[in-house]
Amino acid sequence: MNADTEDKPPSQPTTQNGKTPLELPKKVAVTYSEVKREYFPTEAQYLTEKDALHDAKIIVSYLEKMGIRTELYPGDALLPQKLRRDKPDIVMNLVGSVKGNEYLASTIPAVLELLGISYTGAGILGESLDYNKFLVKKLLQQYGVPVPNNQLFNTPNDPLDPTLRFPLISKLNEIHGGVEITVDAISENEKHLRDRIKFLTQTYDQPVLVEEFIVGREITGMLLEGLNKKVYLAEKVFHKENQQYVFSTFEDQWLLHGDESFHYQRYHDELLKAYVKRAFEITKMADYGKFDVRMDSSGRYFFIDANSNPAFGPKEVDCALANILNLYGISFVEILKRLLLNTMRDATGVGTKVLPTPDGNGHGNYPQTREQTPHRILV
Amino acid sequence: MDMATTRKPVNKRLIAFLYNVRHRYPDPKDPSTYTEADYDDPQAIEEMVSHLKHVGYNVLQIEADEKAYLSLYSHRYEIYLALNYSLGIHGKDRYAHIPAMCEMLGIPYTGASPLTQALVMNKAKAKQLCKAYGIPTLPYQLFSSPDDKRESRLSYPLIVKPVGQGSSAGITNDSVVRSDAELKKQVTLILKTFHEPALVEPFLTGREFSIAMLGNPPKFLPIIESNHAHLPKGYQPLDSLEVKWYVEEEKDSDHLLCPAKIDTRLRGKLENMGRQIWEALDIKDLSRIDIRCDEEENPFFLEINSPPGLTPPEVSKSSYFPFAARVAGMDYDELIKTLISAAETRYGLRRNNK
Repeated sequence: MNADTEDKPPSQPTTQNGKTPLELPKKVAVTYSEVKREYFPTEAQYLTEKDALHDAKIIVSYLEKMGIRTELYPGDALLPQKLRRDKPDIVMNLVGSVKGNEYLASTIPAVLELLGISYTGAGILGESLDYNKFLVKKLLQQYGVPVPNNQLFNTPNDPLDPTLRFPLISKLNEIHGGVEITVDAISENEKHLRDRIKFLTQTYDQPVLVEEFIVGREITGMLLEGLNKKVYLAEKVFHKENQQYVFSTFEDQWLLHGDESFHYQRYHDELLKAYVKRAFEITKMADYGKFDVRMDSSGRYFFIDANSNPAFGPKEVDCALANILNLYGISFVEILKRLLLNTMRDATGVGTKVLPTPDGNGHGNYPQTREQTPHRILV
Repeated sequence: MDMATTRKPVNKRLIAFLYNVRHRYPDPKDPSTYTEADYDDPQAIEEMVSHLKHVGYNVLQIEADEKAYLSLYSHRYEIYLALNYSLGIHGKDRYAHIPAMCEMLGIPYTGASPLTQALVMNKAKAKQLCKAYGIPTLPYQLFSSPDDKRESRLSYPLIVKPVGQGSSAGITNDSVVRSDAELKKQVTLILKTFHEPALVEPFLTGREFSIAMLGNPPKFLPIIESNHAHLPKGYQPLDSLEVKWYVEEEKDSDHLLCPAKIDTRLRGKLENMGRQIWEALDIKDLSRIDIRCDEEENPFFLEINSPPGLTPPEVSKSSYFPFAARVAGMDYDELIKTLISAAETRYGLRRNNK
C-alpha cells in the first residue's frame, strides 16, 4: 500500500448505497470528568484530570465552529437526568474519572446505554477493562500481542515470581496518565521493589502491576476507527542524556512543556501496526485508542500500556493524539468529523459497517451497529 | 471504595431489588421471543419480593429499565443494599448497567463489578480470559456474517450460540449443526434474532455439570448434572431452551441430578476449575458455572451465570441455584440471607447491622 494512502484518515461512513454522506449531529452533549482536588489521593493524580473542563471547552469551540449545538455536562450522578431532559443526538464522552475514580469511568457508557443514547469511545467492557492493566496484559499475551513478563501484587508481601528479572517497574493497576511513573518506579532489587509496592498500595489502595522494564526505544501507536482502522505510529525521541533508564515519566507528560523531554517522530512498521490493530480488538476499544510500546535492543516489541480513553483534543491541548496525528498532517476537525459521523451511524441506524477482512478493509454489507464488534477469532 | 465509611446513615433494612421481568413467554418455536428468555416471570419476581420481606427487609422494587437510575438516585441515601438480579434491557454490556449505576451512586450491591458482568455477558471475552488463565476452554469462532467461512480447525458437530445471551436463549435443538448448510442457517438465525455475532464451538457430548458457588471465598453447593440419558426422543443432549422450558418443568422430571454422582477425582477437577474461574473473573457473592466434559471426562468451561437464576421454589423447582441450595439443606430464605450476608461482609456493613 502506498504510504500516502495509508496516512489518510479512515474513510467516511456513508449510507448503504455508498453515495449519500451521513449528516453531522445537530446537538452534541460533551461529558467531561468532574474534578475536585479532594477526589484524588495525590496531587499527581489530580494533575492528570484538572484540565478536564478546560480541554472539553476547547473541543466544544471546535464543534460550534462546525455549526453543531453543544452542551457540556460533568460526569456525575446528575448526568442521566440532564441527558433525559436535553435529549442530545449523541454524546461525546470524555469522562476519565468519576469522583476521582478512574475505574468508575465505565459508569458513563453504562448510563448512556441504558438511556439508549449513542456515544463516542469505548463501551462498558472496553472502559472497565482499561482500568485493569493486569487483565489487559493477560488478554494481549493470550492473543499473541507481546507484553513484558509481569505480576500483580495485591499486597507488598505477595511472593515475588522468581522468573521475573530486574530491573522491574511498578505501576498502579487502575490508574492511567503515568501517575507514579517516576525514576523511583524502577527497582533493581527486591527490597526497593517491596518498599515501592508498599507506598503505592497504601497511598492508592489498589493492586500494583510489576513488570520487567524493557531497555530500549518507546513508540506510541494511535488507532482511529472509521469504516476501517488506521494506525499512526510515532517514536518518542528522548532528550535525556546521562540517564540510566530512559522512559516517559509522569513529569515528562504533565509538568514539562513542548519538547523539553522528548519529541515525537514518525515511525513505520507494518508488524507493529498489525499488533496495534489486534490489541484494539482484544481490548474492546472503539473509535480511538492509544498504545505505548517498548522495543528492546533486538527489535522485539512489548506493549506496556493500552488506553481506551486517552486525552482527546486538538494541538493546543498538547496531547499525544493531536501531536501524533499532526505529524501525519491530519487535522483535529477531520478527526472530529469522522468520529461524529461514525457515532451518528450507530445512533440513526443509517449506514453500513463494513466488516473487516484480513487486510482490515473489508467490504461486507451486513447491517449492524458498532457495538457488535465484528471479528473472527479462532482460539 | 469503602462505601461503609462514605455513605450517610441509611435505613439499614431497605433492600433495593433490581430485576428484569418477562413480558413475553419464551417459545422455543418462535425466535422473536428469545430475547426475554433470561428474564423472570412476574410471579417469580413477586415471590422473590415476598421472601425478601419474610426474612425481614423492606423492599424497594426497581425494574432495571431506562428509569432505574432515577429510582436509585432518588432513594440512594435510604437504600441499605441493592440486590442485583438485573440483566439489563439493551446494549452489548447490559449485565453491567445496574452495577455501574450502583458504583456511581455509592450504593453497595450484591454480585460482581461492572467489569466482571461485562466479561460474563460476552461469552467470547470470558473464554479468552479463562484461556489466558490456563482454564480449559474449547476453541471457538465468532461469525458476524452467514457468509463467514468456517475455520478448518472446527469440525462438526458444532454448536451455535449467541455471544451475549443467558438462560439458553437462542440455544435449541437446531443449535447443534453437522454441515455447512446447517451452520449457515443457524448463524443467520442468531444474527437476525439477537443482532450480535454467533459463537460457534465444538459440541461435546460428555457429561454436563453446573456448579453453584456462594460467598466470599465461595463455598460449593452440591454439583448439578444434567441427565441427558433420559431426554425424550428427538432432543439433543444439551441444556437447550426446549429442555429447560419443557422437560425440566415436568413434575416428575429426573433431568437434573443433584448431587451429581462423580468420583473424587472429577469433583476435584470441577471444583478447581470453578475456583479458578471465580478468581480469574473476580466474581463476588454468587455465581453458577457451566462445564461440559468430553468423552474422556476432561472438563471444559462453557459459561458463567452471573447473576444465576434464583427462581423461588413456589414458581419452579428446577431453578438450578435454589435447587442446589435445597439439596445442601438451605431453603430459599436461607439462601437469600446468605447472599445478602456475603455482600454485607464484603462492604463492611455487618458491623452496623444490629
